[in-house]
Amino acid sequence: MREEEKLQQKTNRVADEKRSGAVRIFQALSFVDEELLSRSENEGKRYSLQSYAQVLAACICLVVLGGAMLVNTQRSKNSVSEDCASPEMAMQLEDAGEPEVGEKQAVNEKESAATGGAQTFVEAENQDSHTEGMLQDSMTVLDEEYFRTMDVLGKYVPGDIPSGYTFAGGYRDETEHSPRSVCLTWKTDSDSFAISIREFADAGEPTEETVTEEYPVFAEGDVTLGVIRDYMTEYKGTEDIDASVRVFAVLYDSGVLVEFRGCDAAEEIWGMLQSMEAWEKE
Amino acid sequence: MKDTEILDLYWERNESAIAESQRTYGKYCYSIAYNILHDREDSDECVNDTWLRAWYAIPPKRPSRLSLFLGTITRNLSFDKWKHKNALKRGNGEMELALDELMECVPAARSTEDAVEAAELERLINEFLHTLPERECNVFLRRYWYVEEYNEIARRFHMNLNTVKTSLFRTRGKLKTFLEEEGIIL
Repeated sequence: MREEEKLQQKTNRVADEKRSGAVRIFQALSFVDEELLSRSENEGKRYSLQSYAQVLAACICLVVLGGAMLVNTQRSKNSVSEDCASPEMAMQLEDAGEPEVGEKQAVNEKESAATGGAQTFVEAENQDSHTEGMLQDSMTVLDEEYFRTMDVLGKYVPGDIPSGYTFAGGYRDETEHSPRSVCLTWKTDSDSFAISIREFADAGEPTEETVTEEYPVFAEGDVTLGVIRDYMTEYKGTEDIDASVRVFAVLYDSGVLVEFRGCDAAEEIWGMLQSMEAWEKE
Repeated sequence: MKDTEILDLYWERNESAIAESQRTYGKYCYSIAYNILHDREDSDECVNDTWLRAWYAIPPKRPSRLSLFLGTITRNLSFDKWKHKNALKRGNGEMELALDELMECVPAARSTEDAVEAAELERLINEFLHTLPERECNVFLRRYWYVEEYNEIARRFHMNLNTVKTSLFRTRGKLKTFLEEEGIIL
């Protein structure tokens, strides 16, 4: 009996180990190349489109055949025996491939119409290739200096950036003549952080109720290195997010909110806050 | 709304980014969650959590393909929830079957001392997938990334149901051989 129990335990252990292996494979698949996933999405769509084209071609074929039969019938009646169905069918069948082209054109037109929106994301020249999709061809690449010299928000751009980081790009809100919202990013080879700077007409003041664990916003006068250390929220994310994201925000009396996301250390945020022109003057 | 426009909303810290994400990718993410969890409430929760994760990840993240970025978050959140719920009791559904099938890919243990880094396994699985013919790879991913049912895959790719099963069976065998040859112990 004991031998049987041992055997059963061993069998269970092997099964559990195998299952654990399956779980690891499932988890590892989370990091599969995007192009492969995208391809598996697109093949299904391609088939749908092909099916649509085939159905359309079949319909056109029936219509043309019907028309040809009608024509032939009438011509028979008129004692004319020419076969004029084939060239028409050939043309129509070529047209059956049109939906794909037409669809692409429609998408292109839609995309063209969508360009030139009120919001713009611009990237520095050294930006990695995977973000190319976000670039808008007509945009001039703006450098860090552009953001630093903005009328209102420029003084909230830190003068000192943690060592090793280079400017990666920025977003500006162009709904107003002067941007009221910008978001800038800096990066290293393996890391990046962002600072968003927004101007609010009526921001109010951070209170105990508004300073939550999930989203800590402190009034500029309350911010110290210790406060940042204690309240900086870390989002561990999930396995798809390769680095945790830490968030901390400061609300200035002027109604400008400066939000740090992705900075690794409180000291870095503290250093950047102190290096802002706004810090010195307010 | 285009992905770039939705991303702009995230960058602007405009909360309508979440509504637009829901509008554009809500069904897509829900289907991923539901395939794993088979529970409406849990799936909704994972999808809602997906927007929250995205809200805190973008910026600084700038996903080149928003759908896959959001889908991956949903998949992982759903898998975490599934693991939590099944920690004590194994359930039913497609997820169980998918994992049971993947067990066939696990090489026999030859040594317990060689622990394989997850990153290495990810790299090798990617490498393996790149060696597969396109159709075979697509079928494998629909099954084990999206956890789609056999008949759904057959319908998607206009394949016979048995062809799908055979394709997956062969791919699992190939993956097992590939991992064994690479000295992987799971």
